[in-house]
Amino acid sequence: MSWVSEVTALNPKLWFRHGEASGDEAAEVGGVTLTYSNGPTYGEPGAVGDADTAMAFTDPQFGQSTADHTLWDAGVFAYTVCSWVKCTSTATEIVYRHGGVSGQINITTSFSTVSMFYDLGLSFGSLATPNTFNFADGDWHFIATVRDGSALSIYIDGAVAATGSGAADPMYTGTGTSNVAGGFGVGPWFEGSIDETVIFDKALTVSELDTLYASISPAPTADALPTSFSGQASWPLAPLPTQFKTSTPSSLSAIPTSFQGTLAVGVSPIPMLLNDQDAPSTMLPTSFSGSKSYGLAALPTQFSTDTAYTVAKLPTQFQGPDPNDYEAGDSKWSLVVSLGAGVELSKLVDSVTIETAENESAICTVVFVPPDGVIDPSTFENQLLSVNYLGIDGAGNPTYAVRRFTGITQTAVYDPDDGTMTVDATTDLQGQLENTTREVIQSIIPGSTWSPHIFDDTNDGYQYALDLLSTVPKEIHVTTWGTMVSVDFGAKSTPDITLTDSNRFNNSLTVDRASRRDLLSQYTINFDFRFSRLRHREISVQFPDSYGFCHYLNNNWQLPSKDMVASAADSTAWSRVTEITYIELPEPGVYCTPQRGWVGGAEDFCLGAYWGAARRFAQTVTEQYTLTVKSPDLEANVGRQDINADYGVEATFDSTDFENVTDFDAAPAGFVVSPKSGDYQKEATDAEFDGRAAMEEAQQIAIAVGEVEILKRARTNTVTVECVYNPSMTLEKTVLIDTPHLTAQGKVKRIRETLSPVAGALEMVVELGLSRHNGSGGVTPTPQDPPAKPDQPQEDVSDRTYYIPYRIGGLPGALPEQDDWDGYFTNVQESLAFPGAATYDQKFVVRMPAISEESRNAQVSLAEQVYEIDVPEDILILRY
Amino acid sequence: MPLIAHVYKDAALTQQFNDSVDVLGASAVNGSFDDGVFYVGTPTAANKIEASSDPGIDTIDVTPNDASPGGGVETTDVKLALTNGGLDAAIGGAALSLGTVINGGAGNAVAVHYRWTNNVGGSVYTEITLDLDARVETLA
Repeated sequence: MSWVSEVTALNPKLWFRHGEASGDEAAEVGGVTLTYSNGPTYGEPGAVGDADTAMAFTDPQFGQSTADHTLWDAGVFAYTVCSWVKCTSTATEIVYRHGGVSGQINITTSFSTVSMFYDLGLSFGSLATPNTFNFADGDWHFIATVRDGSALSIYIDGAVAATGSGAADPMYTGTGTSNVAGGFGVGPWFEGSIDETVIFDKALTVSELDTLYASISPAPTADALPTSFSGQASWPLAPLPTQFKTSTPSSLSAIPTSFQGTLAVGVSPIPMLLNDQDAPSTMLPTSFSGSKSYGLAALPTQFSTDTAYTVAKLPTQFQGPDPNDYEAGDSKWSLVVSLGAGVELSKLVDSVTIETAENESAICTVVFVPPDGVIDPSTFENQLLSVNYLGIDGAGNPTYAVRRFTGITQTAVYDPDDGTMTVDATTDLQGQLENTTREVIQSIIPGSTWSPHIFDDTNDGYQYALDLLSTVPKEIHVTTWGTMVSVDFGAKSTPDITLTDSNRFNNSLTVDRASRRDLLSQYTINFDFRFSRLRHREISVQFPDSYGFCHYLNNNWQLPSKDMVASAADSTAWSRVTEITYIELPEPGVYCTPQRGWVGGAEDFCLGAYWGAARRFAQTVTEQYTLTVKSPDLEANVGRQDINADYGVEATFDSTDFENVTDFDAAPAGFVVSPKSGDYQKEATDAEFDGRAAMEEAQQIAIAVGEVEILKRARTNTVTVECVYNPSMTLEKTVLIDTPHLTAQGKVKRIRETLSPVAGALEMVVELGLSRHNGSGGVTPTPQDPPAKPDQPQEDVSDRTYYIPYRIGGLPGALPEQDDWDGYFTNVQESLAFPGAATYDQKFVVRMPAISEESRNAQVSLAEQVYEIDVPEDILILRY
Repeated sequence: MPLIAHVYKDAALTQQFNDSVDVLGASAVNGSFDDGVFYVGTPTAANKIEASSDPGIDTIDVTPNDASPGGGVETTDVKLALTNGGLDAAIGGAALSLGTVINGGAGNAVAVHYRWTNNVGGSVYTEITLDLDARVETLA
């Protein structure tokens, strides 16, 4: 059977043979005439082996039907487009297209891939093969794109090259042009040769395409398959390591004994190592040539745990509402309300209402007649609900669509009196946030900050989001497409939408100005930071030889033993950090006047001593900050309207761990002598959670909270208008209202819309938020930097030398012992004691200096730090 | 299968993209633009996603693709960025790199922000797809 007879037998819808010698081409079947432009080449050798020729094209040559024509009858859900091509360009170009922007089909190819696309108005389908082919080889190739309902497939040279799915709606029944090799828009156009473009209004089977492919003369041949090759072809699927073993072949024909590499088997080249077990020792060919088409092969495999995924082609729907249409007095519109998996509600019986607002869930209510049969309202709950506004032409065909709501149905209530179902759907902003992690919420509100020292760490996700929003001038909502976003709540400088008197209904303008009490001109933050300053104080202890050796010889009191001195030195809360240096007694000899003999031998005793001691303690420091965020403009206008907020951070540190350490002989590492105190010291403010850095961050956040609070309250001026229905109105828009008595520009805060398909009525009420201060403006904002760390106050640096006195009883003037005396207590020889002089028990008492209260606790109050902010002044002009 | 692996409509990775009912939408009058966002990641915290062409080396890209070039919306009308603020400077039609690896868990999901600028007028345009590279999901 020949190509012509095979094609004819399949009853094509439209068939171009491209065999003209010049001029226009009348289709073989279908009654369409193509006009060729820009001089393509006629009479190229054809692809199918008969006398009919082909055409060659280079950019910008193309063919186009002389008139628009319909291609599909009503109720067609399948089609096939096929053609023979020799493509020479790397760019993706049209081989054949029918239709306009809406309702088109096309088959495109580059030299390495083939793709298909069909548009059904509000839905579409598309598919592309991997970039693994080579049409720039000088040979003809047979390409076919097939749609069968929602199943899509592409065939190249009679073999399946790709499969996929697309929209299942019926084909477009409108008119459009047929184009070959380009001619739609601005190019690029096809480069190469095209022959035999055939369109069927049905899905040809693999067998039928195989038959077509093989029907040319001579029959197509493939290159001889290599018997052995190595390497790896590129493919979109992850190369899967596999190992196959065949069973004993039942046929002697054409089973390779062993090869490795890749074998194109249609969809995916799969690397394989085939070992033929128990192959007969004779008769199996080691090489073969020829070709054979394979469908998808279910090959036994052994895979690793990796999971591979092909290219994901995410469908888009870009909607362009037409202001010339929806602002026209005679605009026509329709609604598409879908519930669940694309199920369109066809029996709306009442208004569809949608209300959206900043920081709130959007709510949509739909009333409809449910399908015939038993009703279970729960089946209409927890379903995806979408509402699309359609602009339509006079024939009822949609010209554009705009998504107005995407959410989840919550309640479905059936009214048995009139058989209607009322469904409420919501974007459930609060629920979504409550079930979202904090890190994800923070990614949705960029620029926001949070501190456990400012906010409650036990708050749920929704409150956490509100906490974040209190630090940035943003609001959060779910878009009409169902995506949660945060946007600046300030108006843009250039409006997105302008409403004049012709865009609004009479007597629908309302202006609500913020009252003084609504406004805030000053936000005062009282912030305390408490921490431990670790101190290491060193002191020199001196027990001098106050009286001298001769006085000792003359009065003969008991000398202090070295053991007594050492015991006393080590018995205090201070740690001895040096060895004790004793003032030794002299060598044997003759001393004093009158002369006295000294025989020595008193090495265990001393005349005096000195050593170093130190003590570690923690000083509690409280820094008190007053941070004032203010708007000079608002203050000038409304006076001081302020609120206070109190925060505190205490740097955790267990000072007893520091103070209880007594075994040391030097200052701790990292401590530095402070001129303010004379001590080695270091502040315990390095803790990540509540150290100085965390405190300063909390201060910045507190300042940000103050700023945002002032800005939010300045924006409580509102203008409300009932406007002509504008399907492009969203919470992201800035609107300018320009009427004879009012000019106002602000960001949309709330939209309430009512779409009544039964009554044919549309309503939209829009509320704008306007920021106003009514001051002179021009404020330079103060950076939100935390205040500088305060200097440590100067302390009364206590004496760092401690002198231990002699207390000698029996001398003239010796006083009775006092309880608070320190020193070395001894007495002159009894026979030398002055009558009535006090005497003492021998002892050595050391009373080290106390740590003053100033060194124990310090409070530092810093001067007020003022942060000025610039409040926006949105346009609000009232005039007569 | 209608569910698209690794593509979600929400940052928490709970609403997987279903290409039988979901679209990446934008609505804008002629001369203006509209933005949208979707998220790429895996909710399995122990896993990671890499480009299958050369895991860990090649970047995972999102690329605008036009199934009907020369008419309607062109890829140059579509910008991609990792943040909404980055859309202003993005180049229309350019691929967006999501990095060489996307670690599992919602916190590591990559937000893909897109912007469509309407330069063609009033209608509905569906010929553009945003193509996410072939990828593999493995244990991290």
